[in-house]
Parts: sequence; structure tokens; C-alpha cells
Amino acid sequence: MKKTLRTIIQLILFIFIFQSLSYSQELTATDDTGFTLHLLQPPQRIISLSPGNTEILFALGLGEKVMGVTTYCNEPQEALTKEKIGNVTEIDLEKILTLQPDLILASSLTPDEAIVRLRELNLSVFILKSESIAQVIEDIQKVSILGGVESAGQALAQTLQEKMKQITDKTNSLTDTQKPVVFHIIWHDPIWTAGNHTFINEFITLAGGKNLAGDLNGYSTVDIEEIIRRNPAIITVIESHGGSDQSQLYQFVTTDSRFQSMDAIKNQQVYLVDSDIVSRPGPRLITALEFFAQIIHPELFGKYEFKNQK
Amino acid sequence: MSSRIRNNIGKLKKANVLLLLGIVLALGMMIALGIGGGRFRFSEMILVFHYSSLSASERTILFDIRLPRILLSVLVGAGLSLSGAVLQGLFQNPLVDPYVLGISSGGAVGAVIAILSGISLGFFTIPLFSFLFALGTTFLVLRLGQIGHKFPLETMLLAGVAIGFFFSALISLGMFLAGENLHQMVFWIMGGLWNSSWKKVLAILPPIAITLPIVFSYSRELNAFLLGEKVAESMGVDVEKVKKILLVISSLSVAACVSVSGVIGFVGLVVPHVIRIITGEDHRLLLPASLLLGSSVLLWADTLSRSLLHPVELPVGVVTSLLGAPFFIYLLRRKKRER
Repeated sequence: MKKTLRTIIQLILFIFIFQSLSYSQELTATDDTGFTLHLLQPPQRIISLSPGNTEILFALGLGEKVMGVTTYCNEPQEALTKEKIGNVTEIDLEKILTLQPDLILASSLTPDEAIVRLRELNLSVFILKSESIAQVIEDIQKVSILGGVESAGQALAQTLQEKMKQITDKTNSLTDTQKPVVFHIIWHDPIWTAGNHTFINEFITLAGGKNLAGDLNGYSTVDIEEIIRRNPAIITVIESHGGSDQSQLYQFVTTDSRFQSMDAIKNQQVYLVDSDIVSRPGPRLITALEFFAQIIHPELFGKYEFKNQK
Repeated sequence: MSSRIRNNIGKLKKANVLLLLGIVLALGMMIALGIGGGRFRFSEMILVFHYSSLSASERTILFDIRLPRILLSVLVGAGLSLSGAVLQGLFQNPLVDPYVLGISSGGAVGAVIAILSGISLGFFTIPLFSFLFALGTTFLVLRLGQIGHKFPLETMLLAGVAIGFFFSALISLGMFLAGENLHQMVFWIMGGLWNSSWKKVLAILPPIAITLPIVFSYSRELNAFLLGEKVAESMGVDVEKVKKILLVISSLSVAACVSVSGVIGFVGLVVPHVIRIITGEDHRLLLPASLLLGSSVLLWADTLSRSLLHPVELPVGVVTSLLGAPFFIYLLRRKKRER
């Protein structure tokens, strides 16, 4: 009798441990800061702390489980109806607590103190800090594992990788002289551009161009003299949503007398790009890459047309 | 050391000091014209005189980028140091700088409002707003500090400080609310001569040109202020009128400087002190000498800011403060040791 009881207890324990083990194996991922998160069951109440994260969650079909987003999350449309937990850099801890999340997706812009606070409160925080397109695709897969939708993640990752390959297959065979110098401008006073280790730099190089500011580190000011000297063949102008400064920046580039000697101005190769699409680490980065491919090599990828998404 | 310098310079005539500073400035402008792309090229310095032999991009670089930038730094440096010298003389306070009446925070509030509201009247929206707000702040402070028909300097100083704090809070609020426009504000407040254009040069030339003769004509009255307001009054100086005119006119040129270059620290505070250490307190020499030295200092600070990390550009306000503060401390220590 005693023996049977023991066996039963052992069996129950075994099943219990096995189950929890199998769960933790399924729903375990290590984030971009090296923090490993185990979830016992797929999260039902997810909070996103950045527009890019929101786009990833919706693209994986987890949209219904998203409880809170930031005020900047405007894509897809459904995200606009979700509760707002603050903007990207200032987040409302109380609001987050009242939403009782079982997974919080933070970003590189989430303040460290906020992450520490959230973890002290025993909340599951997973941080996405991607610096390259490949890393974003990896992050998408990690989120799909945590969310219990691994197959959706793999399918999405595969689609994105294929689209990327379609572009790089064509641009890889270009010779150096076939790659035009591209200058990406973010602001004019001072002139502010994207150097290496930025998504913009990756778009330009993967799409078969040379980034004029490729030797600068990250986002940086740049001497206007140097831009004239390096003579860009193409200029891409960031269009930030809603503000009035985008037209001002475009006007500056196309009308300022100091820009007139550049090939890009002479040949009218100045293009607007949507800042939401080109700067958010999410599935739309591939769309951004396609845009840059069209801008830089229309003969290979077709004509680029700027559409204001709003 | 400074007493020896003072003795030596005392032997020089006023004209000689000014001539020397003038030559230094002119040479500096010539050399700065040849500095670009992170190095100095004698050929570029000379090529300016061979306009027809230049390519289109060389012309743009020399005449549309370097030349207006050099002139703008010279004008802003002149405006800030001259106002600094005038206000220090007027307030008899060594800590006074051109922004003491809240002009810089007023100008910054104007810029922040222009950026936040998204009002666009062309490229001059932000400079125009900051100019109007800077001037408006001055008049507000003058009004607040005024008691009857008098302008007691202490009240004025306190009113300026209080308004400055209030506006700083508004600026912080604006930055908090700015979201994606934050970087524009941060850059504006840091102070820089990036994106200098002929338009900006032409915009600040009139206010500074008006300021010079008026301020210089009050050198003697400022000398009388050295002995205190009461003594000045007994010497026949119309103290209240002088204060009013000098405060308004120097604010005009500071507001113009702030509107095109943001808040550039230290030049207006330190340059007059350096001149005082070298030449003494006589405003007939102090004012023009401060103007010339201020121009040279900002010219070189800006040249450094665009060459040090080339092709990255640093904010010139950071360069002036980083280099200016240690130099000033050095001067103070030397002066102290002699006593």
C-alpha cells in the first residue's frame, strides 16, 4: 500500500516536472541583453513599449493579446484602439500594473530604470535591441517562441529573408562603379545623417549604394563642405509623420543654393522616405529595404513612389 | 605677470592694442578660409582671389559655406563680447554675461514654441521667433525691474534671473513634450553656427551695426559707472537714461546673436575679463578691444568645432565653454598669485 502510494506520488511528481520542463523548453528565449526569460504558458496579456515591437506582435497574429501600446504605435490601424501606456521614453508604471501583463516587450529606447522597476515587480520583461535587419528577423522568431506561435514566426522570418534575398541577389553582382553615393538627411540645422551601425546604412549598402556617411558612427552631424565634396548622386530625405518640418527639410535640400552643385540636385534625385517605415525595428524594415532598392536602382526594381502612409 | 604686461601695454598706445587685435582677427579670418575638410590648405586661402578659376563646387564651398560662416562667427563673437563688456560695466558685477536679463532663455522659449507649434514661415521661422521672444523678454525684465522712473540694477538683475528660471522651466516642459522634435531643440539650445548662410549674416548685420556707434559713444559714462552710480550721477551723468539706452541696445544685438546661433556660452563672460586683465578698465579701450578679441575667439572656436572631429561637427557652444573655462581659471589664478 505504502509502496503504491509512493509510486503514485512519484508518478504525479514526474508528470508535473515533465510538463513544466516541456513548457519551459517551448517558451524560453534569450533577449538582446542576454537575459533569458521562461514563460510557463503562452502570454495572454502583452504590453509593447515601442512601435516596432507592436508591429512585430501584430504581424505574428498576437494582436488580440496586446493590451497596451505607446502613443507612437500607429501601425497597424488596430493598434490605435489599444490602451496607451505612455510614449516610448516615458512610461506609466501604474498603467502597466493595472493592465496585469504577463509579457512586456521593451525596446532599446525604454529607460533602464523602468526595466529594473518592472522586473522588481516580478513582471516578465523581454528586451529587443536589434541593430541589423538579420537581428530583427531573429527577434521576430524569439517573440514567436515566447508567444507560443513559433510556426508563424518561422513563416514570417522566411518570407522576410526571401524578400531580402531577392534584392541582394541582384545587388551583389553590381560593380563598385555601379553603386551610386547616397546621402540620407534627417535634419538640416545642423545637418544630421545616418552613419554606420544604422538601419539606413544597411538599406543603402544592401540596396546597391554607397552611404556618403558610411565612415561616421551612428547618427551624426556632418560638415556641409564634406557633402559637397563627396557629391551624392541620390539624396533621401526623412519624412516624419504629421509634422510640418518634412516639407521644410525637403525644401531646404532642393532649394538651398549650397546644394545646387551636387549631382543629386542637378538630376533631381531627391526622394522622401517615411520615417515610420525606415526607422522601426520591425517587419516593415524589409519594405524600407525595397524602397531604397527602388530609389537606388529603379532599372532593377522598378520606380519608387512615395506614399504618405497616414 | 599681468602687472608687467600692463606696464608694457601701458606704454603702447590705445591705437596699437586695437591695431594688433585687428591684425590678429584679419589674419585669423584669412587662415580660417583655408581650413576645411579637416586640414588647412594655403591654396584655398589664396584661391578666393581667383574666382574665375574655381569649379562650381569649390565656389560653393568657399563663398557660400566658409565665408558666411566666418563672417557670422565674427559678428556673433563681436555682439556677445561687446554686450558682455557693457553689461559688466553697467552692473559692476563680474559674473554678469550677455544673457543676464534672461535673453537666452527667452530666445530659447521662442525657438521651442516655433518647433512645437509647427508654424512654418519658411527657414526663418525659428530665428524670427527666438529674436522676438528674446527682445520681448528684455522689455518684460525692464518693466518688472522698473521702480517709478528708475531702473535699480539689483532689481533688474533679480528680475532677469527670475524670468530666466521661469523660462527654463518652460523650455524643459517643451522638451518633455517634444517627442520626435526633441533633437531640434537640443541642438538649438546647445548653440552652433552650423548652417550659416548669407541670409543669416545679413539678418544680424543691421542690429550689430546699430549697436556699435551707440555703445562706443557711452564709453565715458561707463567709466563713470566704475565709481558707482551715485558718483556717476554727481559727475553729471544721466544715470537712468544711460542704463535704459545701454540695456535696450545691448539686448538688441544679443537677441540677434541668439536668434541665429542659439546659446553660445562663455565668450560674452570671459572676453571682457581677459581684456581688463591686459588693458585695464578704461571703456574707451575695453569696448573695442573686447569686440575684436571676441570675434577672434568665436572664429577660432567655430573653426575648431568644424575641424576637430571632421567630418562630424561639434556644437560651438560646447567648444567655447570647454576651452574657455579652464583658460579663465588659469588667468584668475595667475592674477591672484600676484597680489
